[in-house]
Amino acid sequence: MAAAKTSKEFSVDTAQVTSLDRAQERDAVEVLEVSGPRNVANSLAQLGIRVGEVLRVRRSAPLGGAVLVETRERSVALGRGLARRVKVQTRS
Amino acid sequence: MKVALLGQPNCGKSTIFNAVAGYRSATGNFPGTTVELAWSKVRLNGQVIELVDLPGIYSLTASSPAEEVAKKFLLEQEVNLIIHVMDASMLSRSLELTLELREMGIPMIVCLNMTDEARRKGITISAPKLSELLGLPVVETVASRGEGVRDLFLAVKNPTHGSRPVKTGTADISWHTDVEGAVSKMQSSLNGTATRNHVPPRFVAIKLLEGDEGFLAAASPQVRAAAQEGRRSLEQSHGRPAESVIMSERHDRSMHLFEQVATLSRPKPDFRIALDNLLMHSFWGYPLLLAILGGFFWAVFGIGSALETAFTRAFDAGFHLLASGLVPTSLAYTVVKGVWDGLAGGVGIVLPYLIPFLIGLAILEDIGYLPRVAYLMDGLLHRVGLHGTSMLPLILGYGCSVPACLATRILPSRRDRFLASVLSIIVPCSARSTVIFALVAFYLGPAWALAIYAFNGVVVILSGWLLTRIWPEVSAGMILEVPNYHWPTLRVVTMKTWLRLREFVMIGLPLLVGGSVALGLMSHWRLDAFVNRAWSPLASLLGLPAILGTILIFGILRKELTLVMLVQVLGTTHVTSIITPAQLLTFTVFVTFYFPCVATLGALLKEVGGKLTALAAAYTTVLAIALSVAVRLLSSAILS
Repeated sequence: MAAAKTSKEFSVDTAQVTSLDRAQERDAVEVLEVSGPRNVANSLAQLGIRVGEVLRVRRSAPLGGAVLVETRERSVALGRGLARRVKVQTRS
Repeated sequence: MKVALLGQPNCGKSTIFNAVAGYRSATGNFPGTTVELAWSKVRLNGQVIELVDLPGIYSLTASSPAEEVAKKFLLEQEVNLIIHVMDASMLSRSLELTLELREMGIPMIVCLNMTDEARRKGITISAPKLSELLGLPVVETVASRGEGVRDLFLAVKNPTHGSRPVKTGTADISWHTDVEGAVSKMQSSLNGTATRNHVPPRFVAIKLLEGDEGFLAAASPQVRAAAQEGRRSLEQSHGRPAESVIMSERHDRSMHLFEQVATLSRPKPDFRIALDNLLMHSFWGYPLLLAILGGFFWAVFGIGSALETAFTRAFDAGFHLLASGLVPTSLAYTVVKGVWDGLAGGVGIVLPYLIPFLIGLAILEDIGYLPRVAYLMDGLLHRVGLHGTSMLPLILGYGCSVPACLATRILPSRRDRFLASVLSIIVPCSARSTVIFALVAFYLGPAWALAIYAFNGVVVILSGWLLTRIWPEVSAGMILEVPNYHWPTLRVVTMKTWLRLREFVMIGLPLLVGGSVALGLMSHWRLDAFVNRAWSPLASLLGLPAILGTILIFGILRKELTLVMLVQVLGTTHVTSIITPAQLLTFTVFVTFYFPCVATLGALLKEVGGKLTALAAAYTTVLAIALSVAVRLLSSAILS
């Protein structure tokens, strides 16, 4: 099991791990981890931002403003601080 | 028969409610608008049913006040039927809630709403297949056009699934073996313990495994220990908290269901994406925001001032006819004049601005622009200790402070709620706006009125910053769904406008008339001299004639009174002939900021309690005095 997990991480050699607020716009990213208090993670999960989901950052407001993220069916605006708590990996 | 409408925010459930129940609740294209319950008795082919519109919820895990309310209602009230409304264009996500609701064992009808949106996105759903897989009746609707609503309520009257009357979703949708194992283990440890009457043991077991506080608290120590053990084992085998495991199960099942009932094709080209590229643009979004708000402002002023001029002329003429037979110093004359002044003020001055204002606000709300405003403004608001979701109370505050204070319930912490309430009462409500329009815009020009709004905006931001310094707390951060634009529907806009207008017509207008008569009588019997003398220190500080003191007290009852009475007291509608432009500006600024009206005080008391309400009231009054003095000093220099 551990071997499979490791090979998954290394097999996509153009994959980049970053936080949601720093993800490139229009890139498809997969959520790796959501840190912070549980109720916040739950609220995010309900809107489709949870481990394993694929998101796309549509746009971000200037000067540290909100981030607009597209899940499978919804567009969700996230505060920058919250977006920072979501660790993602770009898929090539 | 008690029927509950349930669904995720923005699924159109309130539209359906209003279609049958009349103008009882207000919908908003901004998640979190319906936080209160709306209910109505509806007659369906002779039978009277009680229909309740529950707040929009994403799940039953109660992580927000809205979900608490919905869950509590379903558990404690005898609900005979749930109408579960879903946005068909978001089916896979919506199905998670469906699966949760099925676990409650309450008879349910599924309403697949917004099928037009789904089609536009290229999603075709087979309702019969869905019905078969869920074991529930499924009705398709397009509520905004009224399509299918009749069929929905026919199904309510006769809920059948095929030919069998529906009991609960009887189709088997179970989870992965190991999770099911944990659930049945939990269920068996419940055997023998008393659960609430109609709640199925499986539902209780799942809730306990999810760590639901309400259920854990009500459980016996043995059950609690069993739940603890169950959670621990799930966490160990999956490497994640138990509720995350359970959520994934539902997610899995709903995706599976979705794949079985939906076919995807190419979505139709959507100009709304291009619109968002403009309106949410990192740079252009902001000047466009100002332009849209400015345009709104100009439209309200344009329509309002035209109507006001026409109406006041008519009312003046009318009074001459009415009072022709009366002696000016008689009691009769005073009373008649009081009534007429109240009516003239309410209908001739307030309504011309109020109606276009409310219509415009309703349109903005319905189109779906407001979440985009929150998106644009979140960065700035965060710097003053709020976040974008606090925009909703602030924006509602431009209509009326009462729903604004109630809307603060969607905010997570007490401090956020207090902050948003205070800021939403500093923002000028429609009553105060009427004063700004009718006095400053009308006599000094729209530019000055716009200046007051801008000034007010700056004060709101600074107050937020100040209050954050005094009561610091790390704000959780905004999580807000941004729904798609849709054309404002006449029905919804009229409904929303009428709802707020009705309040003015039924409560405000009588108060205006009563207040005017009271004021007239006070001056008739020379009582006003007392009050004015008591006010004179403040009045001279503000550079205003003492008679305005009484008016400001009446303003605590209702803000429009300040406008109507000013006109009444100065004896003419050509106000600038008696007080100077500088005084007019000072007076209006004071009215814009000072002490909230009694209705708002009531709402504040309910939301934040006595101490904080007193604090808010004191803050706004001190603010008003300070700002008006400043304005007085500045404007005498500029205007004179």
